[in-house]
Amino acid sequence: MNSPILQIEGVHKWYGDFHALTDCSLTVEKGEKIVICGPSGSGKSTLIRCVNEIETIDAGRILFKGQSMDRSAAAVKARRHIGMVFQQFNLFPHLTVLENLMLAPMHVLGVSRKEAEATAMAQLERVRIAAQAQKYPGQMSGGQQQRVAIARALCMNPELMLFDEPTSALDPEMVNEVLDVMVELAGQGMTMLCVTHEMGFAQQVADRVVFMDGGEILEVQSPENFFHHPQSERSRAFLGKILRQHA
Amino acid sequence: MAEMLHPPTPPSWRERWFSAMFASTGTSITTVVVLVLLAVVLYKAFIWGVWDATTVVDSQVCSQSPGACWGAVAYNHRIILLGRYPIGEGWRPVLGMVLLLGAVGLAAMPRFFGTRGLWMVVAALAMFVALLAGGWGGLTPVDSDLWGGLPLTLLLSVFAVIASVPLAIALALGRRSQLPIVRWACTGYIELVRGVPLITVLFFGAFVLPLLLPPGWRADAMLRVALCLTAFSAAYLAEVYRGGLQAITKGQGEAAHALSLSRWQTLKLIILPQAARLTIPPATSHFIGVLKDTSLVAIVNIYDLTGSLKMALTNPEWRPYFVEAYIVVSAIYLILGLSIVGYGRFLEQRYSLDKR
Repeated sequence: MNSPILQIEGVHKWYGDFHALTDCSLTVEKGEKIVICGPSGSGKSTLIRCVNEIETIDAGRILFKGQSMDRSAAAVKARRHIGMVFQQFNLFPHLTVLENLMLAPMHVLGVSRKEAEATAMAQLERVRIAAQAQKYPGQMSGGQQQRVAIARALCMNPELMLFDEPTSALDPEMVNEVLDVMVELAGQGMTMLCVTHEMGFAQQVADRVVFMDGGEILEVQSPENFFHHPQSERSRAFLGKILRQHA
Repeated sequence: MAEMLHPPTPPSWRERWFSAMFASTGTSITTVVVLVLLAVVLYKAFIWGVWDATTVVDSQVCSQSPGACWGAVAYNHRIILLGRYPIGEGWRPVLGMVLLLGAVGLAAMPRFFGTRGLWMVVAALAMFVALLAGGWGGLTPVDSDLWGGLPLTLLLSVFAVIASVPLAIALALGRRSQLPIVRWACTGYIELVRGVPLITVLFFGAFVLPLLLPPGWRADAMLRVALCLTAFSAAYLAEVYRGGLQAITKGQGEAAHALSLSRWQTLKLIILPQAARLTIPPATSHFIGVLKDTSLVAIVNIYDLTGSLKMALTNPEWRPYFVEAYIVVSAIYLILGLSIVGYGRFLEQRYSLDKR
């Protein structure tokens, strides 16, 4: 019996007087792909940002591979195996693509330059962008930058990947090149937690869809059930808006 | 629809100049007036500085001549360039200066960027001070109040620049700290120092500080002045760097955190390199300011290049020819300043690729 890779238990988060997350709980098994959706400001991003401690939580607990993510030394060590991809890419503009990928393996994992470069090139191949290794991020398109960002996270050999609206800042013609990489990654068995508005992606790869609104997890469903039989008033309203857009 | 198969040819520089300078009656008049004034000034300067000038080192000849007296500079060059440093020991400051300029020149080359270059400059500074001070290997000891001229200007400038960078980074980070005490202390220091003229800071360091400190603690006057210049420079530079830090998006720190880089690694590898690149133009400006600020140490009886010049001009025989001496000293400052400007431009170009 495998223990779950990620357990979010009764998590609360406040920004001043604003209750950003209310009693959120979610358990993720190894290899599962979870899509988190919901209206703007519903707490989706906050939730996944709490998982790798970009945000601190005010109550409850988050366990990654059984380790409580509590800023202890053990939590910091465990966190190395959580990769994250941001809406705004957040590549390091003063470093080349290759240097962006080699930085963390060399300075955090302590691997040799040679090994880091080999890993980096392999990951760049994986996202089909190896020819651009010597370029600076500023010389690339948004879609290319986001694929580099995915490769950069993969260089740390993650067991869980967090995606925070990875396609929301992209021009429409570049969305698919990024989604293709994500679908491929899902096919290779990566555990993924994706905040996204791409409902096509959700239908294609998600094992479960999480619907959030007002800082609460309102529904956790299979994609089939979620899209065809949404249970709450709010998820019906949300789907009504979002699916009309995509129709 | 008219066809256009080729890009338009840009006008030649002659056409562009002409259209810029004679676009209307107003601009034509301005152009003519400026050109005439320029011609007159250049002509006068040429007649005074070259045509009527004398180069003989003889104040009698100079007093008869309507033109410049470059002999005054030739006669006084040692005291202007080396100040009161003992006669016969002049090779020491000159050698030290060559070492320092050599080290700075090497450290400025990309292949020596980082700690290697820094250590070269620090070693050259130490050698420079050892050469000036003497008292070892058969060198006669020379008190620091006899140091002077161009070597001293370079020594103080390079020291103040090198030493104020880490202090400025610390102050800039401190001013953005989450801890109120650190933030208040750094803000207080920066605003206090920026609110006071450099002359006041130098006076304090040279004359007031020794009275406040116990006798055993009284550091050498030269060191105190060098530290005052550093402290002053750091306050301004801290604000330059704070501007650079503010321009870096929060996402950079978040990405570094997501890659499990420690806070120190994030600062060293991600934040500071970007802040440094963003602040090349204002930092260049600031370093030129530091170079020129060193001329104020004359106020506290330290004879840098400007101070030595003033000292040279106390000689009544050559005092009438102060313009010539000032021109030469200005030219030296200009060459040093332009070198800094040129290097700043080189860095900007070198890092022009990695912009968002």
